[in-house]
Amino acid sequence: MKWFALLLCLPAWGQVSFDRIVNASREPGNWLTYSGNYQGHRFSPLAQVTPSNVASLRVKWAYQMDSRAEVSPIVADGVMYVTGPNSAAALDVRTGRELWTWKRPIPKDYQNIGFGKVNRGPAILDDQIFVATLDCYLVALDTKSGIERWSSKVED
Amino acid sequence: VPALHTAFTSAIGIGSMTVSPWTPGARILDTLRNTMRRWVPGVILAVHALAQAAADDVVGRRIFESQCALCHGQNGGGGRGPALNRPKLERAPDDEALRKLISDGLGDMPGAWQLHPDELAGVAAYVRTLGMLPHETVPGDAGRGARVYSVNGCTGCHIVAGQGTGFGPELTAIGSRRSAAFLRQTILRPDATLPSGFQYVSAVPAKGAAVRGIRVNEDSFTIQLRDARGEHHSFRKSELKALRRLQGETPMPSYEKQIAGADLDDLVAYLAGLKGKP
Repeated sequence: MKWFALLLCLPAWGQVSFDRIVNASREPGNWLTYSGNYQGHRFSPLAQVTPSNVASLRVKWAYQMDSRAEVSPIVADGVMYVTGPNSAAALDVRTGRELWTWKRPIPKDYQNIGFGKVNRGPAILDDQIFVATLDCYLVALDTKSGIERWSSKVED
Repeated sequence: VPALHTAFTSAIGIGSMTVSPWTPGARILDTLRNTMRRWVPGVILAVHALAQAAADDVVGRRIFESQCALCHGQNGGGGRGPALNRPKLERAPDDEALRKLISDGLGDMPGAWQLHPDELAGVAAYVRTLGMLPHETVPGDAGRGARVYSVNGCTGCHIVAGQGTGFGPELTAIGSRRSAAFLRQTILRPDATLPSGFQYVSAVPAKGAAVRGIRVNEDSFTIQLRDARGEHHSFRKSELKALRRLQGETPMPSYEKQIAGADLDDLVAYLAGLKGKP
């Protein structure tokens, strides 16, 4: 089953096309949008973990975020993309090792009331990851290297 | 011993009169003491000031070479950090701003808050001397160089201002970090100027094809590579038949035969002009 899922991904390796996102429910091994698919299910049809074996789950790896993590990660083709406040990282899903990190300084005069500084997750399309920052920039990062492709101020 | 003590205290001009004024020795000592009283403070001050100026320069240079040069280059030619051998530093228009920047840090650069103000002034003064070195002249046309850059496929591995492929080092601000001479050499002999953080590795898994790629991450048990097509590979070392670090090798080919003459000048001018985001 795992190999079959991997084979499905291979033709489009590294490129998360619009079609793949629309048909995200056909790729249960990936998590291509905030809610997993366009139906907003937030549910994985993968059947390996069941009520009877859930108790025997063990930690495979852990990744220490710089800040509080309230993120819905994107998972595509063996890479997990996570975000924090004005930061992002790509992780190897097999080992949890960092593939790249990206950071944008939070302005010194930034103030937030009530909530901590968090980011709820990125979006992906083709070879770009999109991150919204606390200082109201939308930033596109290269999925392979984490290099900033562009950024745009979207709000005051 | 008391005589010695008297002579010493008189000589440095702080002793009280303890030698009898009627002895000839006392008269000589008295004259000597008065002379010293007049001159010594001046001499001490002058010597101190001279030593201080010399010390600032020496101390500044020593601190720069031991703590700053790793990123900024031994002669301020740049590397991981920007080149400092230029008359104008954008982020430090005056000496006060330069001292503050060194003390506070900026972006990835840690602040040298532990330096004494004198040491800080010394480093800042030394950095300014780097800017007085003769400036490099870059022949060639940057506009034409941009064409040479894309025609020769550089975008296939490098990103400039968000355009291209992120396999090799990003070049968006390469002109602020590397000299034209360095860039020219890298184009002709890439293996002579290997970039840090881009270790080229060959991994041969027990099953499947060998992979050559840039090491993205590694620990005792696993290694992650990115190959030239941008594909991501993750291996457990126990699954590998061989893992070789290709020391001194680079995936970047030499362009000695393809790019020469005016084209090379233009390409170098283009790259040297890439100073980062406006």
